[in-house]
Amino acid sequence: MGMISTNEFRKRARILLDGQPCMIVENEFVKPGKGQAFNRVKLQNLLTGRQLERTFKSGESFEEADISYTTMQFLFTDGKIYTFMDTKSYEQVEIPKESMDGAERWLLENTECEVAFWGEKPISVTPPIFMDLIITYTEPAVKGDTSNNVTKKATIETGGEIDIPLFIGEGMKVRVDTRTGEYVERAK
Amino acid sequence: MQNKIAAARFRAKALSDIRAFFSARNVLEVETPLLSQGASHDFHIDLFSVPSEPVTGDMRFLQTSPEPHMKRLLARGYPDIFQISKAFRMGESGKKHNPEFSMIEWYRLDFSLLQMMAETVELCQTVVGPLPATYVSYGEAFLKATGLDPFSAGYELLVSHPTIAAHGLKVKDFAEAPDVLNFLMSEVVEPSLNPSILTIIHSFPLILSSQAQPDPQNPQASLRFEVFAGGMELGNGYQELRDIGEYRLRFERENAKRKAAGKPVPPLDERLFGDMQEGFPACSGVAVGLDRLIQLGMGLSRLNEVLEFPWEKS
Repeated sequence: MGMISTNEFRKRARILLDGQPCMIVENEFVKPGKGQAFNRVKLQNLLTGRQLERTFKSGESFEEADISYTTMQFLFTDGKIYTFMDTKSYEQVEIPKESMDGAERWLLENTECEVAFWGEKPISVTPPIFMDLIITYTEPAVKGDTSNNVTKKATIETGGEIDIPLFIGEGMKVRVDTRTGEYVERAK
Repeated sequence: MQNKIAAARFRAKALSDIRAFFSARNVLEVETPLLSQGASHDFHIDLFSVPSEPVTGDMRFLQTSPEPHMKRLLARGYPDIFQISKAFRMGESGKKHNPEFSMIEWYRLDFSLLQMMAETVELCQTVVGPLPATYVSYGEAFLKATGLDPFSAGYELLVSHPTIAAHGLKVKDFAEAPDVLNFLMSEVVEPSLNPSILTIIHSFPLILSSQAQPDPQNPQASLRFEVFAGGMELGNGYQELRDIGEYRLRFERENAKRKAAGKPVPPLDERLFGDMQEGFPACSGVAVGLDRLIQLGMGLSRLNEVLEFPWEKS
């Protein structure tokens, strides 16, 4: 991979920082009139998902991180390892739970996800933004509940937990926003 | 874009108010070349150089400020002068920067730094409205915000300030004390200033004097000031250095750094020195960023919001 300088830090550019692949989230040019220029940069560590802020001297160069994205179908899991298949080459990859970033809570068999690779190594899984999933467990709504609760906890068929409105019951299908893990609407 | 048209109207009014401001004070409007054989030697200002001769390909520089030409006018006997012109600084693109920007620069004969600071406040108020102004010395502002005395701290102590590690920066990112002072100024001192008033910081350390005279009252300080508001530096002024030997020394020092870093090294401007040889008058001068004044006056957060064609779109 080539080198990339702070002047080329566009959003989503990916660099190696302290040996870890990071994505540029924000890049602000800072310069006192007669002083050295800096770039105040917000990055996301692509291994941990954590955001960090760093300041670099303008013009400093970094190795580009070899990140690629592939559409893959979720096949099965033993609870520790998640197995996916490349929809084009039919090749399979195994992704440990730690690299799933919580995506496993929304995955049904055959769900197509975007898998990020650092070189050969899968590092993150992005499920579709909206998933329609069946409620497998929730408390029935209590008549005359005068508390201020407008939502209740529910478990969905993929094992994830969400907050749902009181009128939703077991067996119903709901749409979930996987970015926030929030209930969107009742699904058909 | 409706708000860009509002910015254009604001700019047009600012330009006419600024001209009225100077006209009422008998300051002559001048126009000097944008392309020049000489250029700023400032290590941290990158130059646009332009092929300027069709056969030989000789280069000229786009001005980073009208300062050298305006100083030549003063040396040639011009009275008080002002200019509103474009200035060009390569690579300076961001929330508060555009590589091509508008600058108001003016010089007042026999003005002390104090008089110049007062007039700079009035000029800023002409555009941004009646913001109150407060004056503080560099030493006092720096000590209050960083806990360090910029005059006595020295490189080692300055560079160990926790802000530097907090930004993930290393000692080697700072070559010398002025670099650390500038960084702490922009990252610690500036954000600590009240954004809704004009703050004038004066008596910069001598190692940051640029083209200002040494302060006769304080051998470590210089007669330089900057004005801040809205979290931005709006302007920079000096009681101007008059000693040609000292100009040469300071320019050569910057040129040596440029050479060591592999940056283009503009030749010393002998035309400027030639004019100054005849005698350079006692004066103060200041440069104020017009685009930032407009941004502040309109209460906007990014410079791009007042430019119809910012760098990426021009």
